[in-house]
Amino acid sequence: MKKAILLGLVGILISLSWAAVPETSNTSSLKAKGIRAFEVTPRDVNVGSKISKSRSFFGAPPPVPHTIQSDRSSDWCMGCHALENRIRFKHKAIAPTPHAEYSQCMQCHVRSDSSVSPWKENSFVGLDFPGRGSRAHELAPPTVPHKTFMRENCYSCHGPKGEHAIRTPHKYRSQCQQCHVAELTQDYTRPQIK
Amino acid sequence: MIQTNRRQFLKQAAMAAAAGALTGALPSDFNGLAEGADALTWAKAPCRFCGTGCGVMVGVKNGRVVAVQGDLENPVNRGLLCAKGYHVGSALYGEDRLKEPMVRKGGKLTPVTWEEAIDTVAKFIMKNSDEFGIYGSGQWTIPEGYTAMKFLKGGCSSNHLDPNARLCMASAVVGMITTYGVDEPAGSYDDFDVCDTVILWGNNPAEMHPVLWSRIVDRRAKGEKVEIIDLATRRTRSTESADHYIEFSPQGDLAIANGICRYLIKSEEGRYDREWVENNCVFREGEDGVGKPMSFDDYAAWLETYTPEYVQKVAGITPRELELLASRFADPDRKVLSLWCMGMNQHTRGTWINNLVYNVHFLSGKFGKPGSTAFSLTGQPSACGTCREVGTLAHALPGGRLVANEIHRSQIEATWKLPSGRLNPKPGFHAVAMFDGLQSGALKGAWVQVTNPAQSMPNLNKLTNKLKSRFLVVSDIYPTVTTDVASVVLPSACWVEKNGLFGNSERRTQQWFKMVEPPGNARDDVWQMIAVAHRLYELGFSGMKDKNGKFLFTVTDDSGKEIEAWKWDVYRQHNVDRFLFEEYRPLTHLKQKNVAPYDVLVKNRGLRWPVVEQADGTWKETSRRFVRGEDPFVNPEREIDFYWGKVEKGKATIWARPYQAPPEIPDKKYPFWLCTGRVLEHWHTGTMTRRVPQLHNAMPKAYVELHPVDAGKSNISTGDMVRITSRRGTIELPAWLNGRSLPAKGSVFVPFFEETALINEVTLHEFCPLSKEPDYKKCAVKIEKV
Repeated sequence: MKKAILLGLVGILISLSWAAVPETSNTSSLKAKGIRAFEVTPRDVNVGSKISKSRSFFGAPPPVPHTIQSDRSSDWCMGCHALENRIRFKHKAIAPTPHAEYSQCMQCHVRSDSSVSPWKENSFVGLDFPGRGSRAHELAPPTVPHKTFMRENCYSCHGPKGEHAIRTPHKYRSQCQQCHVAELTQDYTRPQIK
Repeated sequence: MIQTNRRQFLKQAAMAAAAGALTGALPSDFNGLAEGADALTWAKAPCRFCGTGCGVMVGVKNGRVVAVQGDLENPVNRGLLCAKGYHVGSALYGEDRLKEPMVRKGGKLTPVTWEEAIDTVAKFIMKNSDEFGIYGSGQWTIPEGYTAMKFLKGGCSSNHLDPNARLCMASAVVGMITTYGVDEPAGSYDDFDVCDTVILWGNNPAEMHPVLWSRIVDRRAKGEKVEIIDLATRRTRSTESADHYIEFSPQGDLAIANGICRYLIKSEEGRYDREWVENNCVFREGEDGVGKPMSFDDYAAWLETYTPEYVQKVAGITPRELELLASRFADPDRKVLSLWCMGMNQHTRGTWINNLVYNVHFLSGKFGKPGSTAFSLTGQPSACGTCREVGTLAHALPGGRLVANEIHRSQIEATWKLPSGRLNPKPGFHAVAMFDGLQSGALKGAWVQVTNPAQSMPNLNKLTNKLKSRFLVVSDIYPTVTTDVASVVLPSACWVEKNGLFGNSERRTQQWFKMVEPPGNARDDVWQMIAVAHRLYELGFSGMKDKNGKFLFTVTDDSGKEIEAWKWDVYRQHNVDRFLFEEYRPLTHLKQKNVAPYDVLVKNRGLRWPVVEQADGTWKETSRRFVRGEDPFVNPEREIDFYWGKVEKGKATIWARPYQAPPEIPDKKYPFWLCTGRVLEHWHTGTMTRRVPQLHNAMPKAYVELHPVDAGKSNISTGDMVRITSRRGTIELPAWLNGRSLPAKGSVFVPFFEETALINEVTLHEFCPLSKEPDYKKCAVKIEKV
């Protein structure tokens, strides 16, 4: 397994021509947390398609918006999306997986190719983003308006370069759920207390 | 407790009906229900797709499904789903949903009223009831299969009822019945959590049962050790997580299993569990389901053929690989789990290989212990619950009964209040024979529900090309290649557009309530059958009367008052599912398959039968059958009790089943093996999943996979069109090299989901003589670059 990840990393290094990022305030703060940061120059990688566009509904696993190294092995995914490999791609952050305990990435995240035309039209309208959580008062920390199962790593979406969610304005804080508590009524996955 | 629940249930049903939003009922254990139609509500259901039976939470807003999440409280999947499961809600909303009944007039399917459609079907059956079949599938809910069974076997005295499950599960069923006398697995998914070694027998769960696969593989992330040995004919996503990959020649599995048994008994390093075998097993030899008795010594002598050298010759695996496999069974401390699905079942000796895998587990005593079992996975959401437990098969009656058994017939005649002798003792046409019958004219018509035989039958050119000239009634939710040749098309409600119950691979029965309205004039399959039955009753068809002259499907509401269930407006106001399930439930007791009461299932995320009421009024499910302390029906004097043991009560059979070469082997003219199968994104014939943009995007087209060396010889590279030809048909597909899987040299693989590229025009028309299940996994083809 480790070997495969290593091989994956080497493969990506070759194919994407990585280079270490020059020290910036951002990267140094990441470094301070023990997170390695890289900048990647795109070559044959199809990026730019937004996660939200191809996603069926809020809560659906986002499809993979870029080409993939291997259709057979999910080990490649972790080359970029492993927690410890927080990578900056141009100005976007590559989201580290919010659920590292699951290893079969492609079981849920399937490749999305926007050039494929639908076979038959579909009128499904998915649940929208939940919007902001509620606040007790103007200065109170907002609650978490969505379920947290499989989203234990808040930085995955709310990190400094998070594209599709509120970006944390205080990235030096790491214990998010210390202040932002889950709004239970929005989270059916928790036991309901009546 | 149940009473309260019933009250809540009724209250909510009334509330929902009053709101005009819903007619069924909603579960009581979720708040937010009463907040009006525009509130987002969540309710439980099992996934519509495979036999894993994941629990999903369905988010409904404004009368439409808007989101689907894994159900954290469901012990099957614990919150996780696969790509198909997350998008199961979208499968309801393809723009071309069938919304009106249609009858073929002047060669064209023409929209008609429900009355006309029902009348047309009823009048045909009235004249041809003996030459009319019903073909369903494991996608039938339990009440749907039960209704179809009662309609045809009880109403028409005909047994020409069989499901798509015959193409899928039949070998597993006959394997279990010949081995331990009663259908369905002994173990459960609980064994997946504690096994040390998993052996995949021609199985690719990473794509076919992804959530179960994660349940095993992700144990490693928790620091547990799970060894996976992939015994296969091609490298797949499952191989990527395997510790060992052992590639064997098609049909070589028979020799490998016998080779392991020989190793266990004969070799110096081997070890078989003598005590376990003496206590729990008898030996038999022969090719059929009955066989002749055999002593242990005779069996050991018989195994002498399966030396490592012989296994290498016919199965293509090295003696070291055989020893690797066998050593896992020989290790007394190791917990070993065998998994299989279509690789072993769609096999011209499917029953034998199922028997042989049990042999391996029995000889090593790796059965009925936590983590050690032989587990057959299933492909359809209720193949177990409906096809096998209800018994929608040409030879069966509900609850493990047989049409040929007089006592069984009289039991069912009593339940259905039929005059004595109404049930026909002669088994009807099984799936392949049914389509042979439609070709030859032995059957004049058939009613197809919840499946797509014009795509899924083997050798389509021979088995389905005359369907258009027969009277084919098709109930479905989308146009398919089968509705294309239908005389009558009936639009159906799907999944959470109706009430339902499914039974999954581990004997878990799961219930759900209707959550949204079906589109247009689409209606429940149960209602369709009851309506046709009632039209027949009105026309004076005697079969639709019980012995007192009353309508066969006399349905009562919760207060015991009879309702006119054949009228849609009445049907939709009541939970007819509950009535039918409770009528069926006592029939499951004969073979100790006691399913839980409907109202208990409402409260639970499914329960695994046998479910038995405890002294305190709670209901206890069973994780492992035949095991003392777990299965309530075990004789307390025995540790393991195969209480339906055919030869000797309490004991299972170890079968001497020989290696037999496949019926068609590659030769000079057709030099390649063809294996067909599935992909992660698409389910069965793709009629639902191909209409989900995310899944279609990920896997838009069928393809042929070749080994790069073979491709190189024919100058084929990825994207080139390749013509695949067998003795039966030909098809052209784009090549995919080094893609999702890597077939063995000399073999090609094609998925069968695409209706515009029917690989089943190429596949073989041969089946296991015991289970009647066709072999889709091996036939000889040639390949040419187009």
